[in-house]
Amino acid sequence: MATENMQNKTIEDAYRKNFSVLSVFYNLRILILIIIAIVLFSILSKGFFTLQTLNSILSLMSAYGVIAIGQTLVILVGDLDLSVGGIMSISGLLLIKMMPYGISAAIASSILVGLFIGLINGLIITRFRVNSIIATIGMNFLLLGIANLISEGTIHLSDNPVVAFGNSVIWYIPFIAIIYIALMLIIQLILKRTTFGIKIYCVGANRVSCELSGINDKNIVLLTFILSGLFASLGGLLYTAKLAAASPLYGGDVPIFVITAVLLGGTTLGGGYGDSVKTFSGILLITLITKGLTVLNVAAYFQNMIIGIILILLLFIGRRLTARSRLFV
Amino acid sequence: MKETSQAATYKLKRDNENLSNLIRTYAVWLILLLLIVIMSFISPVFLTLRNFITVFKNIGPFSIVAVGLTFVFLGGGFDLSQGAILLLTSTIIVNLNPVTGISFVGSFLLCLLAAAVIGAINGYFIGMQRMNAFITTLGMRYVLGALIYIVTSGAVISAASKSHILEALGLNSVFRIPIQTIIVAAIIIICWFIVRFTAYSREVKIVGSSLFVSRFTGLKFGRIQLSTYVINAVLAGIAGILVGSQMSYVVPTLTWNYDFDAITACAVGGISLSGGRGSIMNTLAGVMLIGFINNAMVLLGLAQAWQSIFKGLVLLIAIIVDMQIKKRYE
Amino acid sequence: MTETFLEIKNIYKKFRGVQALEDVSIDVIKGEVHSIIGENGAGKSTLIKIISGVVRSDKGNVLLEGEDITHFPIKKLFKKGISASHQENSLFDNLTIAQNLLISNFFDYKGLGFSWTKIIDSTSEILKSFGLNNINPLELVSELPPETRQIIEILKSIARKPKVLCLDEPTASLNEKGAQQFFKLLESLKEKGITILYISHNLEEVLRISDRITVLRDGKKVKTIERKEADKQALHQLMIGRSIVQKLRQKIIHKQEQPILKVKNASDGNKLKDISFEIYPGEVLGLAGLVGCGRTELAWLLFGLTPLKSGEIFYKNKLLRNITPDRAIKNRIMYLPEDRKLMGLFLSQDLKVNITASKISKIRKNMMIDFKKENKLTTDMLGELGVRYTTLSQLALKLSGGNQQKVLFGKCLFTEPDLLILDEPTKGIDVGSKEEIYELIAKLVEQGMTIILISSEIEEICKLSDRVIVMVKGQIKDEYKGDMINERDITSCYLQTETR
Repeated sequence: MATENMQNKTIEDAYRKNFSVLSVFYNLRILILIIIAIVLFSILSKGFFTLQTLNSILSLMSAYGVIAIGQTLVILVGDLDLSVGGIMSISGLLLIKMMPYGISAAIASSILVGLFIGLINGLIITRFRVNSIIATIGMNFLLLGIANLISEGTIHLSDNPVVAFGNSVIWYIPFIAIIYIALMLIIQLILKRTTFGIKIYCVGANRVSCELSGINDKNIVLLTFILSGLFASLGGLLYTAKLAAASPLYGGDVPIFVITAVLLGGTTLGGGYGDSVKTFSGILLITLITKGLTVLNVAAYFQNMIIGIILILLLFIGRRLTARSRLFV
Repeated sequence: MKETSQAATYKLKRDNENLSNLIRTYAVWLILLLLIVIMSFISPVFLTLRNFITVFKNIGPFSIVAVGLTFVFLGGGFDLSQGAILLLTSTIIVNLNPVTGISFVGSFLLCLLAAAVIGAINGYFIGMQRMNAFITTLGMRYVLGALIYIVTSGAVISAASKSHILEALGLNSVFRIPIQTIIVAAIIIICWFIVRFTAYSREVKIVGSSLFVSRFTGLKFGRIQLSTYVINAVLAGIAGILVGSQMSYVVPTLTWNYDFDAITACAVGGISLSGGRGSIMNTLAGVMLIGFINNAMVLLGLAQAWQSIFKGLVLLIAIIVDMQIKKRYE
Repeated sequence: MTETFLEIKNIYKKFRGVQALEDVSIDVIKGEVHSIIGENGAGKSTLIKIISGVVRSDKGNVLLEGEDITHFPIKKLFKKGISASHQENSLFDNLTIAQNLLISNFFDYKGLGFSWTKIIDSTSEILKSFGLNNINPLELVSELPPETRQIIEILKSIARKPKVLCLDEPTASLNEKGAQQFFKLLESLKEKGITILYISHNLEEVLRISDRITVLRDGKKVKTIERKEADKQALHQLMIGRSIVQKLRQKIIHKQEQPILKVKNASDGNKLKDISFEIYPGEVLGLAGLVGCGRTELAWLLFGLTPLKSGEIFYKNKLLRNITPDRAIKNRIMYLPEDRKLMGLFLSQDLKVNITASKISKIRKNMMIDFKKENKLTTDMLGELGVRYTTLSQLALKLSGGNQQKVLFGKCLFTEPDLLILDEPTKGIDVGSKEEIYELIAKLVEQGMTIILISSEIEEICKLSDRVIVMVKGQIKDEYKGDMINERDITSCYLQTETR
């Protein structure tokens, strides 16, 4: 896909820009959709737009949101991490299993395991030049198996400061949401204002150029996978703290969900464009739709269907607008 | 003097190329053979006709999905929606007869039609509109989830009142070989023939190795890519019917394992994800390796979890070894 | 007298069993412009890459002011003052011009942030030094036209404030005006005392700017000569090690009544405006003009890659409607694209597949592929073109540039075209292969093929064409026939109008 982009760019025609009202709207698409969703749900169900709903949306999106931050970084360098579900499951299970040894030990072990798995992922992908989709699918099988070994079925955690923390509220805002937003902003700053951030964009755009410009692309990719592992384990911690339970099953659909959120937000597969605020808006939109439709008693499958249709439609419109070279139409 | 040394390097290069191809083609088969030999020493039940029949029956639907995905990979595409297509047709085939009274043949044709239409929609967006395959099929997967829900009306439906033909398809055997396995074998042989010998598969491989160049070569790349998605969807649909015939009830939950398993099988077998290279034999090797590993785990009495772990390990080792071989002989 | 500034000592480098560089030693004096010339595959680019740290040499040393800098990582070499602009595109499309220009300078910042205003200021300063006052440093590189990209590419290496600047074919995609500006910049750099290593195919350029010239051949150094002692003929001789026998084709002025192709007032709604011309059977029609004048667009229009907006195209007396590449091939029109790696060959496929790809119907029998016929036709084709290959199942990727170009010719000839459009048929291949391709074109015309030849090398066009059409800004400017064809007239024709 990256090569396809490059090929399109070599065509001289490709530099014509398309200024139209539609493309302005397209650039603001997620914001517009969020506003539409809020207005629509406020009309359809009385008392939707309350502080309470907002809080529940925020706390719903936080755990997945943290995982999505890591995924954003990986997608920015042009790879995919499908093992975040396994990492999240293991981290949650470890947290509960290690609780007898003290809270800090439990948290530390979860985070360390996340970092370690990220490192292994990154090493496999950078040192052996393996396709990241396949490598992380393999890793996910492996991790879900291990998660199943650690615990058959769901395990619970009760009367614990972690659980209390996971459900605590500061100024009406859930604590885990504050953590998520803080992490999201930190990563945004790193992406836009540090050399590491700029290097991530460079690697996503063109790895050959990186070599010529003295950027060690392999190390950058490795770092993004380590960060993805870290954020996946953090997400697992938040999820467990919120639910007071962990299970190998919780990680099942997480990779797909998180990737959907990142792509919906506007970060492009293939790398180079996007940031963590975009992902925030993507995940906010999904959670809004989910929450709103749940309030309206619409089944989960239809909620997913609407998200799927939005995903395809936005891509389709984007494709029509930026069909720069007519060679392919 | 210089001439001879040059000839020698050329010969060396040629040998290397042949060797790497050989290793690549037969590595998975060798591992499979090794597994079979070791397992037949460990477990007395392993090397029996009955066990082999069980393995082949178990991998039947899955192998058809993987073969379908091979077409998409050869054409340079990607598909995440086959698992959902499989579930959709399996729910249709089980429910349609008891609920509406449409005959088995009618519902069978309806299943294939539904699958073909879904494949064509995927193919239209990806092939004709040049949309990203990953995102399109991801979206399609969500949409199909809702369709399955509509078909089953959200309830768990007992398949006790399944049509007789479907029942027979799931249970009957000819000379101890399940009908299912015979059908699967026939489909795989046809697909192997298509990929190996036809001009169509040549076009698919060419388009898969570079869309851009194929435009300059005068190929209708959009249509060709579209056709691979249709083939893939129809095969997934047939797999769904086979799954439906084995099921005793249908739950409207999506189990996504089929797509990831199929991707795994193709990758283990050595199909290139960047398109243009590979054969059905590659896929078959990957499918059988995974099937026999699962079987060995069951025979050894290991928990389900270990199957997952071994599947992951085999996949990781296979792709790493693959890349090492490529690197060495390049 | 003069001190050696950069010393390259006994460099060896092997790629995949081929000796790319063998015992190359060059002394570069401070402040000089030192050109390195040679055929394609002579090892020029490899040498530059070794000096700038992109490629590791197998043996030998590079010394900068006496200090051994062999195998230093690129970042460290930047600090030492060695900077290079390579042939490969090294720009990041998703970043702004400012970010691109100063990408390496960024990395010196140890803190978390950096001063954006400072970076933007210094960027506009650099842009001004090249006379690009009206370009916004915050514009995305992906939105720049190709020529400006090339300039940014060069400026990127200059922005590092190097002591030694290596330039690999910097003028390859610049137009005349851009090239003039580039040479002005080069002069000013030289005045500042920067040492420049310069690689080019273009001997005139080399003679114009160099102080000394080193010639490489087959990975070995032939000679380093002073500018005063050099002339074009001698350099040519040193490069290829033999003198070229120039065979000129007898130019024919065709007077047939029936043109094979007739284009009437054609435009593509974008670049081409009101194009009308005719081609007669068995003729070589040259299309001359600057890069971006619409030559390639015209070829794409005829081959059906872009749709015709208005006007008519008659082929063999029939009106062609809705041309697409597959219909064009059926009508026996074929196009040889300018970039063989990007548009021409399936690099990851073998030779058989590549040769037969554009007309699979020829090897099809009852929907199956006739493998015997395929082998035979491919072997015949490759033999006829003199391609050097190991087996038919060799990947196209593994052939050299000249051989790849011949395979691309094979792919086009496999469709048995009556009208063949050649877009830069000798781009980026060595002199030897070039001559072979000229001979091939002459042979094809003798066999009765009609050829449209697009080339940036005016010498090539004059040598081969029976008739030349000059294009300027998407329109046909002038036409030259037979003895009227000469380099000076044609060049001045498209240059004058362009600069006016």
